[in-house]
Amino acid sequence: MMGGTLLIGAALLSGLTATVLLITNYLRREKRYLNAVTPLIGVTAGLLSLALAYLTYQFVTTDYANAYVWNNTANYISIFYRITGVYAANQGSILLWAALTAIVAFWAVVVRGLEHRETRLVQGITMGVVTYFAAMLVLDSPFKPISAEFPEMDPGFVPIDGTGLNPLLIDPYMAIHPPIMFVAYALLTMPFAIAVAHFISTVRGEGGLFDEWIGSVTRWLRIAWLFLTAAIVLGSLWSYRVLGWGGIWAWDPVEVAVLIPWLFLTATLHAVMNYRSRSTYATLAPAMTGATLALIVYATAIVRSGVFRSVHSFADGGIGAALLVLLTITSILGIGLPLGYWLLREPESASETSSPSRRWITHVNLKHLAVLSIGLLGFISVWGLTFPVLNTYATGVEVAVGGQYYNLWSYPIVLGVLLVLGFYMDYDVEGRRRALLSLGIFSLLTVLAALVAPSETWTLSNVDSSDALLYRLVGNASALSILPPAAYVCLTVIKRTLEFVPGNPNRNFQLKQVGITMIHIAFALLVVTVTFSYLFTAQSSLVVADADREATIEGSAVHEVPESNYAVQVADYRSYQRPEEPNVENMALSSEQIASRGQEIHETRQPVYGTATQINAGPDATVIQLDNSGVWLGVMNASQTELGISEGDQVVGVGTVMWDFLPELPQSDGVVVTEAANVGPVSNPPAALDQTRVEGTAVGLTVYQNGEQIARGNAGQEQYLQQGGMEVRDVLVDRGLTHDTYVIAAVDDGTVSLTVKQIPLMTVMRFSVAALLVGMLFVIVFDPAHGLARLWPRVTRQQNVTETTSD
Amino acid sequence: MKKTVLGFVVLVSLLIVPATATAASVSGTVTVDGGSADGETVTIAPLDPSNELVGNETETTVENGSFSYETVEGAITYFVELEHEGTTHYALVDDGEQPDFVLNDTISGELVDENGTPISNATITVTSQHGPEVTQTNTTDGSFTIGPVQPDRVYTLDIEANGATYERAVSTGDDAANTTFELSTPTTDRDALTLSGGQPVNHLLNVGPTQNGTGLFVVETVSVENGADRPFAGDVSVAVPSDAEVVTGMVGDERTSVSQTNGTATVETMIGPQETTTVNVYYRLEDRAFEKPVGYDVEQLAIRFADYDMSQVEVSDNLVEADAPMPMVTSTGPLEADDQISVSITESNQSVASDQTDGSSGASEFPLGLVSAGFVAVIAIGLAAYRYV
Ligand code: HEM
Ligand code: HEM
Repeated sequence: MMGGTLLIGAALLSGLTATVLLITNYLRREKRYLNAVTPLIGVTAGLLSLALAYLTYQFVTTDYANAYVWNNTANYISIFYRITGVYAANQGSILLWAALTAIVAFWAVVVRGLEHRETRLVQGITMGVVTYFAAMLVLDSPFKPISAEFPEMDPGFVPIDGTGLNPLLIDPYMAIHPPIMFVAYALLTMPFAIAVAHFISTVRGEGGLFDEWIGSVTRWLRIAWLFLTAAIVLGSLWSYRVLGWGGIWAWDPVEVAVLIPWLFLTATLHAVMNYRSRSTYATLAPAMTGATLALIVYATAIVRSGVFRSVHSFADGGIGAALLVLLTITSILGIGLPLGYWLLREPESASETSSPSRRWITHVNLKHLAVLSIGLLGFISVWGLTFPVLNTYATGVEVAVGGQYYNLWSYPIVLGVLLVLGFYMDYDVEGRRRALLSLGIFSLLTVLAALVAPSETWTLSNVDSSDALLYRLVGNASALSILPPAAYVCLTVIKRTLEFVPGNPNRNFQLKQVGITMIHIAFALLVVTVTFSYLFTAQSSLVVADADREATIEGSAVHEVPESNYAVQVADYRSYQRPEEPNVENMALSSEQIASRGQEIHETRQPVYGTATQINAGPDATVIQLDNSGVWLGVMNASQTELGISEGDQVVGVGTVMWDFLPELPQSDGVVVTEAANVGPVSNPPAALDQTRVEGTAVGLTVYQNGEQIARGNAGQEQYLQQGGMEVRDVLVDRGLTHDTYVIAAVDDGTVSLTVKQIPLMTVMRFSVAALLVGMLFVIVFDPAHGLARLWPRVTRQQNVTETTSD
Repeated sequence: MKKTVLGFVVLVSLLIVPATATAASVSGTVTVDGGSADGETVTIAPLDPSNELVGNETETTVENGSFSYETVEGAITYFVELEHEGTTHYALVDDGEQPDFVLNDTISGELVDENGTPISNATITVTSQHGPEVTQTNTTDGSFTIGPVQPDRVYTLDIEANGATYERAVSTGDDAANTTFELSTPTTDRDALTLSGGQPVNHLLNVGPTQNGTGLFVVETVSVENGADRPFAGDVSVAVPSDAEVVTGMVGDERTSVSQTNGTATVETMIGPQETTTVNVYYRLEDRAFEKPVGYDVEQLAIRFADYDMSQVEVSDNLVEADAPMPMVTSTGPLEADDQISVSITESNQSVASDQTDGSSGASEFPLGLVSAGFVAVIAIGLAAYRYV
C-alpha cells in the first residue's frame, strides 16, 4: 500500500538532489557531479510516471485498500472511467501535473544539456517546482491507506465497493480536457524558469539570458498556448453539454481564473515577439513570461481553495495551503522579482532608447497598444475575481460578481482590441492616411451600429436606471456594433495576407502568415459568434403527458413545440439501472476470501456468497455450509423452509463474521451470523445487497424542424443514488450549419417535459476555435525564425547541437 | 515613465470596480399574534421580469421574528414563502422592499345548506391571492376556523361539499370571522343546462390527423351554461360516432375520465350556478370520415380542420365553408339534437408537422442570412475599395 508513496518519496529525493546540485553548480560556477543530474532528472520523471501508472493500475483493478481509489471509483464504472478517475480529485491531478512537469524538464535537459551555466539555473528552477509537487504529494498522498477513512475498522479491512466518481465526470470529455489542461500547465513551467533565471542573472549583473533563449521561450510559450487554448475549448464544449453550467461560457470563477492566464499568455506572445534586448520590451517581455505560471497557480488555487463557489470544484480541499505557498513562491519569483527589478534597478533611459519620434502612430506604439488592450481585457477578469475577496476583507459585505459585470466591461475593450488589431494589420501594408481613414470609417460604423437595435433582443443587457452610467451605456448598446470591427479585422487581415503571402519565396514564411491570418480572423469570428449565440438563443417547451404510452405506439403523435418550428415525437421510453445485472462477485466475498482474510475481519460485517453444500436446521437457527469449506452462514430464527434454500443452491448473505462460533460443529471454522431478511439466493439477492447505483430514464426522441426530421436520439436523466441522489441530464444536441438544436428532457413517471433550444452560430464557433488551433500549429511549425520545421533537419543531422536553436 | 504606468494601473482598477454587482442583504420580519414563528422555514424565490426563477430558491429559518436573504442579480421581485404550523403564507416583494409577515387574523365560519342546516363533511382549500395554496382543512359539522392568516388580504376558499365545489372569497380585515356560507345543494337536472358561450360557437369540433396520419383525431367541445340557482353536479354527454375511440375528456381545464356507451361519451361535470363551462371530449377515428348526430339543439355548430385544407374536406349538406382565416365549416342554420352531420377527408396529405414558420418567436429569430451577407459584403467592398480607390 505504501508502495506508491515510496515511489513519490524516492522521486522527491532524486528531484531534491538534482535541484540542489543544479543550483549549487550554478552559484559556484562548478561542474561537480553534474553528470549525475540528467539521470537524476530522468529518474524523477520515471518515478513520478511510475507512481501515476501504479495509481492507474489500482484504479483499474479497483484496489480499495487505497482510500483515494475508494473515493473516486466504484465497481460499476467501466475501465475507461476508472482510468479517468485517477485525476478526478486533488491528489491524483497534482500527481499528473507533477509527472508531466518532470517529463517536460527531462525532455528539456536531454535536448539542451547542461553545458552552459545558465541552463543549470533554468533546470534548477524547473526541478524545484517538480520537487515541490513531490513534497506536496508525500505530505498528502494519493496512496493513503483505506484505514485513514475507516479508523474504527481493523487494519486490513478493504471495502468491497468504492463510493464512486462524481457523475458529471462520467463523460468522454473527461479523457481529454483535464490532461490537456495539465499538459499546458507543465509546459508553462519552462518559460517561467527561463524568465526567472533571466531576472536572477540580470540582477546578479550577468546580463540575463533572454537574448540567447528567445527561440526557446517562444516555442515553449506557443506550444503552451496551443494546449491551453485546446483545454479551454474542450472545457467549453463540455460545459455546453452539461446542464447547470450555463452553456459554453458562464463566467464561473474557474472559467475566469483560467481566462486570465490565457489572455495574459496571448499578450505575452505579442510582447515576446517584440522583444529586443535593449528595447521597451527588454523587461516587460521576460516579466510577462514569468508571470504566466503564477497566474496558472492562482487559477488552480481558486479551483481548489473553496474560496469561490465554483461549480467546478471537483478537487477542492486538502492541498489548499500547499498551493497557496506555491502561489506565493511563484508570484515572488515571477511577478515580484521582475517588478522589483523594474522599479529599482532598470536604468530609466533603457526603456526610452528607441529614437524619440514625433509621430504617435508607429509600429512600436501600436504593439504597445495591442499588449495593453489584451492585458486590460485580462485585468477585467483579475479584478472581477479579486474584488469580492478584497471587499469581504475590507467591509465584510459579500459581493457577488456576476456574468453581467464581465460581459459589459469586456465588451467595449473587445471592440477596442478588434479595432487596434484591424488598424495594425492595415497600417502594416498601407500608408498612414489610408489606414487612418478606414479606421475612422469603421469606428464610426461601430458607434452607429451600437445605436441600431432592431429589437429588444439585440441590446446587450437589461440594465436599469440605478446602474452606473457606463454600465447603462454599454448595456443599452446594440450587439450589431460587434460586426463592423470584426469585419474590419477580417478585411485588413485578409488584405495583409494577400500582400505578404503570394509570391513570397519563403515557403515557411507563407505558411506562418497563413497561421497568423487564421488566428486573428478566428478570434474576430469567435467574438461575433459568442455574442450572438448568447443573445439569440430561442427556447420553447412542451409537456408530453403519456410519453411512456406513446413510445409503444408505432408512429405515435408528433407534437408541435409551441412558438417554434420544431416538432417532436417520442419513439422510445425506457427506465434502466446500473449496474445492469449486479454481479454477486462484485458485491460479496467468496467463502475462500472470507477464510483467507481470517482474524482481521473477525466481528466485522461482511457480505458472502457460495454454494450451499450442507444445511443443518436447528431450533433457533439454520446453518448453511458454503462450498464445502469451513465457512458457514448462520441464519438466526429461521427454518430451512422459511429460507427456501436447499443444498446445491447459490446463496448470498450479509452478516457478522464470527470465528470459532460453533465449537459443536467441528467442520466450521467460522460463521457469518445473519438473519433471514439478509439472506437469499444469488438470483435474487436480499435488499441489503442491492447495489443499484444509477437509476436512469431516457426517452428516444425524433425531432422535426419545419416538417423535416433533423435528429433522432436520446435525452433523459440519471440519478446517482449514492451521490445524494444527484441528477445528471443527458441532452440531445443536433449540430446544424446555422444553428444547433438542443433538447433537454425531464422525465417523471411517464411525463416528459421537453425544452427545445435553438442556438445560432455554434458551428461557425466550432470552426473558429479549430482555426485558432490549426493557425497556432502552423506558426509553431513554420515560423522562419523559431519554428520547429527549421529545427528538424538540424536535430536529425547533429544530435547534440548548440543552445540557441534547440531546447 | 514608471509613474505614468503605475498611475495608469491604479486608475484603471478604480474605474472598473464592479460596484453594480453588489449583492445586498434584505431582511424581513414575521409577527405571529400570540405565538412565534422562530425556527420555521422561509423559502425565497428570486424572479426575473418574466416571473421566471433566477438561480435557485433559497431557504432560511426565522430567528427572533426575522429572517434575511441575499438579493440576486437579475431578479426584480422575490416570492417569499413562510411555513407556519401547517399553513403557508406568501409575500411578493419588489427588489429592495422588505417582506413582512403579520399573522394575526382568522377566517372562520359555518357552512350551511339553503335551509340553514349545517353541512357535514366538507373540505376547504384556502388559496392566497398570489395563487398557491395556504392550507386545507376538513370539517365534519360545518364549522371551521383557519388561522392565523395575514390581514387585509383576499383569500379564496374552495369548498368541496355535496359532490360539488363552491368558491368563495373572503377579505381578512373586513369580517372574515364568523361568516355563514350558504351552499345550496346541487342539482342533477340536465334541463338546467343550455348551450351558451364558447369560442367561436357553442358547439365546436376540431378535426385533425392522428399521429400516423391514417385516421382522424377529434376534439369536440360544447359550452354549457347552468341556468339554475344552484350548482349542477351530474353527467353531461356528447354524441360521438359509433366507431370512435374516446381518449379522454376535459371539463374547463381539468382532465376527467369519460365513460363511453354506444355513441355517447359521458363526462361527470360540475358547474356553478349561472356559470358556463366547456366540456371537451377527445376521440380518435380509424378512418378519415365520420358521421354522427349533433347531440344538442344548437344555434350554430362549427368544425375546424387542422392540417387539412378545404379542398380535401367533404361535409354533409347542413354544413358550409365558413369565411374564416383557417379551414372551417359551420352549420347552415340551427340544428336539432338528432340531426346527422358527416365529414370526410379525401386525398391524403403528409401531415407530420405543418411547416408554418410563423410559429417561432419572432423577436429572437437571428437574421443569419442578412447578417452574414452584410458581413461578407463589408469585407468584399472594403477589399475592392482598397484596390481601386
Ligand atoms: C469553460 C469551461 C471550462 C473551463 C474554462 C475549465 C477549466 C479548467 C481548469 C483551469 C482546470 C484545471 C484545474 C486545476 O488547476 O486544478 C480544469 C480541470 C478539470 N476540469 Fe474543467 N473547465 C471547464 C469545463 C469543465 C467541465 C464542464 C467539466 C465537467 C463537468 C470539467 C471538469 C474538469 C475536471 C474533472 C478537471 C480536473 C480536476 C481538477 O483538477 O479540478 N471542466 N478545468
Ligand atoms: C490587439 C490587437 C492585436 C494586434 C495588433 C495583433 C498583432 C499581431 C501581430 C503583428 C502578430 C505577428 C504577426 C507576424 O509575425 O507576422 C501577431 C501574432 C499573434 N497573435 Fe495577435 N494581435 C492582436 C490581437 C490578438 C488576439 C486578441 C489574439 C488572441 C487570439 C492574438 C493571437 C495571436 C497569436 C497566437 C499570434 C502568434 C504569436 C506568435 O508569434 O507566437 N492576437 N499578432
